[in-house]
Amino acid sequence: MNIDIRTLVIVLGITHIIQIVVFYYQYMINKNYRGPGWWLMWSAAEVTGFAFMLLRQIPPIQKIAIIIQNSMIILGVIFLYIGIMRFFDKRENRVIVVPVFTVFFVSLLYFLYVNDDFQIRGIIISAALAFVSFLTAHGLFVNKTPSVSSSANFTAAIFLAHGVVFTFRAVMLLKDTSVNIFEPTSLNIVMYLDALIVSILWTFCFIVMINQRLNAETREAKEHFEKLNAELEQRVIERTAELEAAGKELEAFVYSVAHTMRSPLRALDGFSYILRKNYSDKVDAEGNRLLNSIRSGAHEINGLISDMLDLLRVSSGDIKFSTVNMTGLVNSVYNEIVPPDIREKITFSAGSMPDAVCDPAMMRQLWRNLISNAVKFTLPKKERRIETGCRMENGENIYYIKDTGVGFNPEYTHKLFGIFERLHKTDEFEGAGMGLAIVRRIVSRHGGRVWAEGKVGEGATFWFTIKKSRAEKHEA
Amino acid sequence: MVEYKISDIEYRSRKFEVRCTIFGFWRLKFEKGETMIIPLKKILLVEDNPNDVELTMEALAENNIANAVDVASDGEEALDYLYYKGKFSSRPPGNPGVILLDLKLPKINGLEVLGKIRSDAALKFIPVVILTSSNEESDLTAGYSLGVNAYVVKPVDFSEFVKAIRTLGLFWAIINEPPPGCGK
Repeated sequence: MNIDIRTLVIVLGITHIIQIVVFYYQYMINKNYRGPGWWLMWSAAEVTGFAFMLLRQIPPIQKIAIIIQNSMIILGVIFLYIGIMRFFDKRENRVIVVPVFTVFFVSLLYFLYVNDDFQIRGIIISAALAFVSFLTAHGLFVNKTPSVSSSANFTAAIFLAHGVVFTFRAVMLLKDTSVNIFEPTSLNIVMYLDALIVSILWTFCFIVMINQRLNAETREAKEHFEKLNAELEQRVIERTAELEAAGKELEAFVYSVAHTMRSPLRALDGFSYILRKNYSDKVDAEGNRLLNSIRSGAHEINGLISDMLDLLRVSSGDIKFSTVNMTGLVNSVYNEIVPPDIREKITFSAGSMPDAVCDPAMMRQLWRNLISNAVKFTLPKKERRIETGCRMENGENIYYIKDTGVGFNPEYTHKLFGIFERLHKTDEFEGAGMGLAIVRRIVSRHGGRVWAEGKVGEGATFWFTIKKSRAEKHEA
Repeated sequence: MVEYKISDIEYRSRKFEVRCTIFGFWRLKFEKGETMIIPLKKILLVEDNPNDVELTMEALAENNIANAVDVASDGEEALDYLYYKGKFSSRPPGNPGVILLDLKLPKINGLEVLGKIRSDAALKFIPVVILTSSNEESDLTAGYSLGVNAYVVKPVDFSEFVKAIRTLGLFWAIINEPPPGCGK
C-alpha cells in the first residue's frame, strides 16, 4: 500500500475543519446542552495540531511546532473527555486529567530539549492518547443516561478501540527505530487511518447522542405536559365543583335568611294591623299614621327581599330555552301588572315583535320590570305613552320599550343597571332599585346587551338584545 | 244561638251565606231562605312561631272560623294530635278536615309530618295544605311529590293573609267534601 502520510494529514486537517463547522452549528443550536462547545474546541485543537505537524519540516521552528502539535492533540482528546462529561452534566475528573497532562507535557519537554528522543516522545504521546481514550470510554459507560445509552455505548466502544490502537502503537514503538513521523510505515498508516476514522465516527456519534437526548427530552416534556394538562383539567373540574357547591350553599343560605326574615315582617305588619283595628278607640290619627309607617316599612323590606330572591334566581337558575311570542308576552305582562284604572290613563302600544328563543319565565320577569318601570315613571306626566317594539340591525333583533315619562339624566346612564341604584328619591318613586339590575342579569345570561337612552323630562328608551346563535343552536 | 256571618259565596251554583255556630256546625243560609247545617270540620294548624300562630288565629277570627282550629306547635305535637298521644290523648276522636302545615318546624319538620301522614292508612286521606313563607322550587317539588293537596305562601301583608285564610278556610272547611272519616 502506497499512502503518502502528508496527504493523510491534510485530509485529517480538512476533516477537522468540517467538524469545526458541524460542531459550531451544534453548539449554536443546542446551547442549553453543555458539551458541543467542548467538542468544537476539540476540532479546533486538532486542526491547530495538524497544521503545526506540517510546520515541523521547517527546521527553525521544528521544536516549537512539535510541542504545539502534540500538546494540541492531547488537549483535543481532553476536551473531548470534558465535553462528554459535561454533556451528561457531570464534572471531569481533574485529579486525573491535570497530573496526566502535566506529566505528559514535562516529559515531552524533557525528551525534546534535554534528551531529544523521537521514539520515547512517540511512546509518551501514544500512552497519553490511549489513557485519555480509556478514561473517556469509562466516563461514557458510567455516566450515560438511559435515553442515549445505545449511542453512548457505541461511542465508548470507539474510544476503547482508539485506546487499544494507541496502546499497541506505544508498545510497537518500543522496538521501532524509524525517526520520521511522515515515513509510510504500517504503524504510522494505521495511526493516521485510525485518527481519520474515529474522528469522523465521533462526530457522527455525538450528533446521534444529541439527537437521542433531544428526542427523549421532547417525549418527556410532552408526557409531562400531558400529565400536567390532565392534572390541571382534573383540578379545574374539582375547583368548579367546589365553587358550585359553595355557590349552592350560599344560595341556600340566602334563601333561608330571606324566608326567616319574612316571619318577623309578617308579625310587624300583622300586629300593627290588629293594633289599629282592635284598638281604634285608643289610637288617634297620629298613632294610625305611625302604624301605617310601620306597615309600609315592613312592606318595603319584603319587596326588597323579593327583589333579592329574584336577582338570585335569575343569576343562578338554569335557563330553559323555548320559543316565546314576545308580542303576546308583552301584552299579557302589561295586563297582569297594570290595574285597569291605570291602564285607562296610558296609551300603550305593543308593536309586533319577532319571536325570541329564551327562558320564558325570565323573559316575563324582564318585561315585568321594564313595563312596571315605564308605567311608574310615566304616570306623573300629562302625556302618557308607552311603546314596545323591535328593530332589526346587523342581523340582530333589538327589542325596546319607549316611554314619555320623567326620563333620566344621561350622565347617570352607567348607574341605571346597578344593584340598589336609584336615580330618584324614595318619596318620588317607590322601589328598591333592583329592577334594572335584574333586567341586566337576565339579558347577560341570554348573552345579550341592554342599554338605555333618556333625557330629564323627555322620557326614556330601554333597548336589549339576546344572543341569536344560542337560539339557533337550540332549534337545531 | 250566636251566629257569625262569614261571607257570601257560591256553593253548588247557589248563592248562600255562611254562618258559623259555636256548637260545632256550619249553617249555610241560601238566598231563598233555605238553610243547611253541616258539621264543623276541624282545622289543625301546625306552626311553631307563636307570632305566626297568633296572626293566623287572628286571621281565622277575622273570618269567624277560629273556633274550628286546633294548634300543634311542632311536628311532634302534630303527630301526637293525629295519634291521640301526649297532651292530645283525650281530644275528641276524628281526623281534622284539613291540616295547615308549616314547613320549618323544630324536631320533626313539615315535610316529615306530611310523609308520616301519607304513609299511614288511617291518616293518608286527610287534606294537607302547606302554609309557609318559602316558595322555593325544591320545597314545592318536595311537597307535591309527598302528595300535598295545596301549597300556600303566607303573604307578608296581613290583609292579604286574611284573604288567603278566608279562601282556604271556606274551601277546605265548607266547600270541599272531606274524605270519609275526616272533619268530625
